[in-house]
Amino acid sequence: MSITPVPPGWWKMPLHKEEKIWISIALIWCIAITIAMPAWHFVGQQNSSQEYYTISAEDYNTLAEDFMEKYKTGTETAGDWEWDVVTPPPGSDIFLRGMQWKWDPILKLKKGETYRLHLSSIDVLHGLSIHPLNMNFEAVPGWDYVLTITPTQAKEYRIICNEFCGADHHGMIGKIIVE
Amino acid sequence: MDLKPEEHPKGSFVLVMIFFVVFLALYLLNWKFLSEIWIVG
Amino acid sequence: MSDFRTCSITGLKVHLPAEKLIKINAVTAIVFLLVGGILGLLLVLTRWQAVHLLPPEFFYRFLTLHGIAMLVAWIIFWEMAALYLTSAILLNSRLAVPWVGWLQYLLMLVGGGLVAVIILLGGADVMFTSYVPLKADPLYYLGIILFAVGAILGCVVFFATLVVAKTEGTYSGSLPLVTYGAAAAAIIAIITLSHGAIVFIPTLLWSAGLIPPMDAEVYRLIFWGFGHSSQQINVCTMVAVWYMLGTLTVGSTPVNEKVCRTAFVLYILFINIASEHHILVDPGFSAAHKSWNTSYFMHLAVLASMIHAFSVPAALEVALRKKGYTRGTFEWLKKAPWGNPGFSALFLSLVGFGFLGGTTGVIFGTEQLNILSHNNLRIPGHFHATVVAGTTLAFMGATYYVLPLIFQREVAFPWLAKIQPYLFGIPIMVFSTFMMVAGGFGVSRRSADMYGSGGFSVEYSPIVDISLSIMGISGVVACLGGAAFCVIAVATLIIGKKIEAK
Repeated sequence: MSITPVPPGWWKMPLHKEEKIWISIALIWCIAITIAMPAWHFVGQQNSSQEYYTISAEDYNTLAEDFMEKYKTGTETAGDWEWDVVTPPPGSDIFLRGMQWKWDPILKLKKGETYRLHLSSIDVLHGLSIHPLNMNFEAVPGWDYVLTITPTQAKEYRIICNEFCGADHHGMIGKIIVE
Repeated sequence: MDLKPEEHPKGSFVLVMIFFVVFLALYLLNWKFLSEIWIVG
Repeated sequence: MSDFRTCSITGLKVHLPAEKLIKINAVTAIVFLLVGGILGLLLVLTRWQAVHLLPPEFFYRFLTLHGIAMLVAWIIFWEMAALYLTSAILLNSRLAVPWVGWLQYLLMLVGGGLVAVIILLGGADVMFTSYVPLKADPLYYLGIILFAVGAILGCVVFFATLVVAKTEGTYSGSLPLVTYGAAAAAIIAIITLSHGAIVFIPTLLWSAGLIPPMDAEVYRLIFWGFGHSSQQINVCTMVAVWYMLGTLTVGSTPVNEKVCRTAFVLYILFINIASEHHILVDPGFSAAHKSWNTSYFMHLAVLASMIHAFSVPAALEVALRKKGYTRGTFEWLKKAPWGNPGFSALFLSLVGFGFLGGTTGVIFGTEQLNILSHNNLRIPGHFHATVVAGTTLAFMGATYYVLPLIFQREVAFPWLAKIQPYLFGIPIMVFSTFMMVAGGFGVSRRSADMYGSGGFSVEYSPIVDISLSIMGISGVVACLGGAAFCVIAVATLIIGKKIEAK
């Protein structure tokens, strides 16, 4: 009975065959799925970045503004919103700024080229979700998170904010164009 | 606990093996989905 | 010995002050379940995009309260009742320091009530997670702190009662497995609730304008030491409740005490560090740190769950086979008491937690796979499988035994009680599954409108529409199942036939 006290000697009870087999399988499985994580850093190409810096929101904002000014190639509007369209050269440092409730700018990238994406927020937490890829990263104020990305399909993507950030959180939708 | 041969939990063993196969399938499927997104590191 | 009565069903000595505390905590838990359930209905009718009921402001407000009422209030109040039950009642002992127990109740009630009122007044539209620098009213954080301190006191009373029972010799041998499991849960509770206090005290001071804000990432790290580890209290208590229901429904005995108890120790040692799977796609931590911690130290806490995944049904199977259901592999399962809500709740909870909640928890919490899951609907899909189909359903099943044993009343509407676990358990599993399917196609969690609000529009795979509709329908049915539970519980307290005490 599991609701009554147990007499001494229970520690010495041997395991039954089924228990032994199942616990062995479970243990091997647990070790395997632990090893899978470091292993993917060597054999896989999709990993959470380990490059990050602390930076004040003001400093990050200045860098992002400079970046947008330097590579601006147009503007785009939707509803009451307006964005700069920015076309950075392949291999460059690019910025994606989260703020209540907008992702800036609209990035135009080239398929198969690699970029260093600096992700951060200048107010509260935001969540970067590249749709419909369903790639998700956190934008944290005070932290410059550098994601080295290589877009592999040409397409117009949406960026959905998936970390609750206030009243118009659901309206915070941006765009990345891959050509 | 002493068990007679017909009292061994064979059914539960089958159930956890089904569980394990489901787990394994879902796990591998997710790695496949992961390998299809952009390269990121 | 006027403080005791003898239970006419089990023959256990029941300490009356303990019984009172169990009653009041259980009733309060069910009140919060009712509140959270009504909100849940409104929320599912909003996320079901074809209905899309609530405007954003109320969606976010109700979502915040739904999280607090269910994840914190309903479950932890019920766990307090479980702690007193598994210590004083199962050990035939008096409850140590009942006044501290009352202090526990009052602090949790005042804290929980304060949080609920502040949220409804619009002072804390910050979600369950309340990530800084998103700011809520200081009273919101104060309420959480009071609640956490109250819950810690409940754990203290539990351990004091274990000491009293041991020194007064109210039982001989080792603790019952269920009490042992509850003790593991209480240890985890003290660790996790302390994280809550550590993170919410500076947040309270910041919100009151007394100190500068803390780093957003530091908050996330410590918050999850509370936010997720507090769910490990639920896991641990739920497993203990599974073993208890096994004994109450089919008279099962653990096949091997050593195995079950070792698994509980693995929970205590390794489950807390798993909280770090919330920061897998965050800056600030190395890959080694992330994978080591989120693998729960080589996934040893997962091993514990996998051990229970076999031990719990094996105990049921052996008990039923000893009753003579030995034909084939599954005769015991066919002849099991499926009409007993305690048993059906136990089995459905086991299936829902294991197949849906457990597997997805490990997958989404894998360092790289988290990129596909972070903050989309896969996450609430996962935890509705663990905390609702798993923990809540198990607690409902146990309530069908607490009502006669502690409240001394026969369960009202037995015909409804018989089907209630199915009415709740099956739809909530469907709900969770399709929530996860939609999440897999990139539908965000905590979004009042997945199509945006007038800026860029978003297109989704047609599977998303179908999934969200199935999720909506099954969510509504699950709410009916939950309502049936509340009706049965309340009706039992009011019109349930009294069981005569000896």
